[in-house]
Amino acid sequence: MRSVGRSLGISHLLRARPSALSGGDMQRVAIGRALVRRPKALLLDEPIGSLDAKLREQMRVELKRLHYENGSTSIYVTHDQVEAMSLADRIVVMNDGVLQQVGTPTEVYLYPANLFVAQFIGSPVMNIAAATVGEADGKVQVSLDDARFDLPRELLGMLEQKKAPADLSLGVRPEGVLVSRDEQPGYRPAEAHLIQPFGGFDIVDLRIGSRTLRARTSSGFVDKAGDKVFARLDPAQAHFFDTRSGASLDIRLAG
Amino acid sequence: MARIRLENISKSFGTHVAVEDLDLDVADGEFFVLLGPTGAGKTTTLRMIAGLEKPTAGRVHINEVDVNGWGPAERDVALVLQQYSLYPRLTVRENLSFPLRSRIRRMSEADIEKRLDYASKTLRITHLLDRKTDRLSGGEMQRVSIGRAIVREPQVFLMDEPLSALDAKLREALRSELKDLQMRLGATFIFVTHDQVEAMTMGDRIAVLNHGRIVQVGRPQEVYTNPRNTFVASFVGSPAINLLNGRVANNGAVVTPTTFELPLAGQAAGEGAMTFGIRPEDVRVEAGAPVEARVHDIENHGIEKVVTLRVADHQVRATVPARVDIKLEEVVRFGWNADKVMLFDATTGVNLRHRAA
Ligand SMILES: Nc1ncnc2c1ncn2[C@@H]1O[C@H](COP(=O)(O)OP(=O)(O)O)[C@@H](O)[C@H]1O
Ligand SMILES: [Mg+2]
Repeated sequence: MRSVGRSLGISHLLRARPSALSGGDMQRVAIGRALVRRPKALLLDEPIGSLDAKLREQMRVELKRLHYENGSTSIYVTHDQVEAMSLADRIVVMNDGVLQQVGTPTEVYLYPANLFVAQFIGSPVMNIAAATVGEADGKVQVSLDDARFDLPRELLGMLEQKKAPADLSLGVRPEGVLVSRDEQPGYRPAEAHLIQPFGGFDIVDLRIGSRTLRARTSSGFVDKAGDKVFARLDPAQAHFFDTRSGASLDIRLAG
Repeated sequence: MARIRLENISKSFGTHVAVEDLDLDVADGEFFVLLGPTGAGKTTTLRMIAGLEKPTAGRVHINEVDVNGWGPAERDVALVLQQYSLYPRLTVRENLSFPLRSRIRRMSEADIEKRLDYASKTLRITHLLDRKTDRLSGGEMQRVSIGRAIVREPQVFLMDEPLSALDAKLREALRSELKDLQMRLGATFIFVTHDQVEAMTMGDRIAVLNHGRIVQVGRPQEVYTNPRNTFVASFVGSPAINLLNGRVANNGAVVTPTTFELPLAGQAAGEGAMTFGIRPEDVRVEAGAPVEARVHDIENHGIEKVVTLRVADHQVRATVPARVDIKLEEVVRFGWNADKVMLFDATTGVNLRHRAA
């Protein structure tokens, strides 16, 4: 009991009444109660879901350390993708009672199996748009309505090999939309709309033709709404999905 | 359209001081955020602007008119709350038109229809107009609540944690929708939240409140890079800033009691005891860096990893690119971007750059 109390940082509370505890301490005690039994497996159902953001961040680190030191198999249930990504060795993504994907955090983030996983994991959410792929001016282009971007020629063969359907969706995370202040080959003109500063970086909504794509930039990179910039897609971060079934075509282009 | 000015506003409930000596000047068309932890006095401040609560002292001005004697209806402000105040058995259309059908307004059916049309198009809820509100999702209900405010064409929109009850994905979507809406309406928004992400990403300016007082007012990036004190520094930003106690010696930072040393840039203001603040993105994990540490925790955030380093009793958070290969309990070295270090008074927590100013 003492060693569990110590690793949870609640030794000083061992004599306190539960009613006198803060939300975080109460959850620490609840987890402590499970651990003192030295269980073979630990099942946790949204154990920190009700705490505020700062405390959740702190408790995430504590839980992960506890797991590392204690080593027992843990199954952790959460609706919060940040928690899942942060804590897990492996994640099982579920929706409507159906398993969507099993993989390491890196796998589900970089190679989502379908549209649901693609949009559930990662924040801000991945840009998704109906896309057509064709050739123009001797280049392979993906068109999102009137927004067109160049992609490597090898895409054509890959689409054929994967028997890509006509209804295709393109997915690209904000960090896969590359922004330049100057005109460069392959970059399309774009107009900045909303700029959301997060402190360490900005999320900028770019109007390209009639489309809006969300990009991640260093903070202050785009000065203000209305500014004209240029954007292209990073081929290595482009995902293609069968729009009807939602399944990823698992096309991986080189950067 | 309105400018809102609070002048030395205080509010006590019995002996309990909820808001103390608050001064604010919100410009016409501004998206202004009141940010602070639970109990900071945000809701009380908003209710005093709405006319639902009388200040114990001080004055509320709307467009430079003292409105202390005015009731809520005369102030012509719209309040949107976390809990939706919709009539469950009525349709969305009926809920939206309800505030317009009051006898005082005497609006024609055509005018009501026009406003309804505008609000529902703006919020993209036209397809829901004939649905009963108890058949709506949380996000749809909150859109309708905002719609009820829009149709009234108020001078000011007051919002009290309107997104807090929604799940993370929906909050993210509604954040940009609301900001976009405010820009299109060109209206004055005063938005209350305890969520620093909402404050940073939506606000033209943020007022940080704690214990009923304003700690700092500034643009999001200002508050982030130049926080007034350690409270603001750690309230704003995720992952949280590192605060390390120590002292300045020979123009460098000596972190105590473990004692490790890191360089400071240029003129280190003063000597002696100090709290050093460094954001995780300004901590560098690399070979040859000045301090040795063990990897205490690694969080995968997709685009990057948040690594917690351990030096004796200290923990230091650093963000590193996702591709960096790093293992728990591995020995690494770290340093910091010396020009990004913030210095805080060790006892008061006040940022030395603010104290000097
Ligand atoms: N009607 C009231 N009677 C007594 N105390 C109140 C009342 N309303 C608020 N308070 C107190 O005033 C302080 C500020 O509350 P509030 O404005 O609701 O904070 P916030 O919205 O920032 O969480 C709190 O300590 C709260 O308990
Ligand atoms: Mg409140």
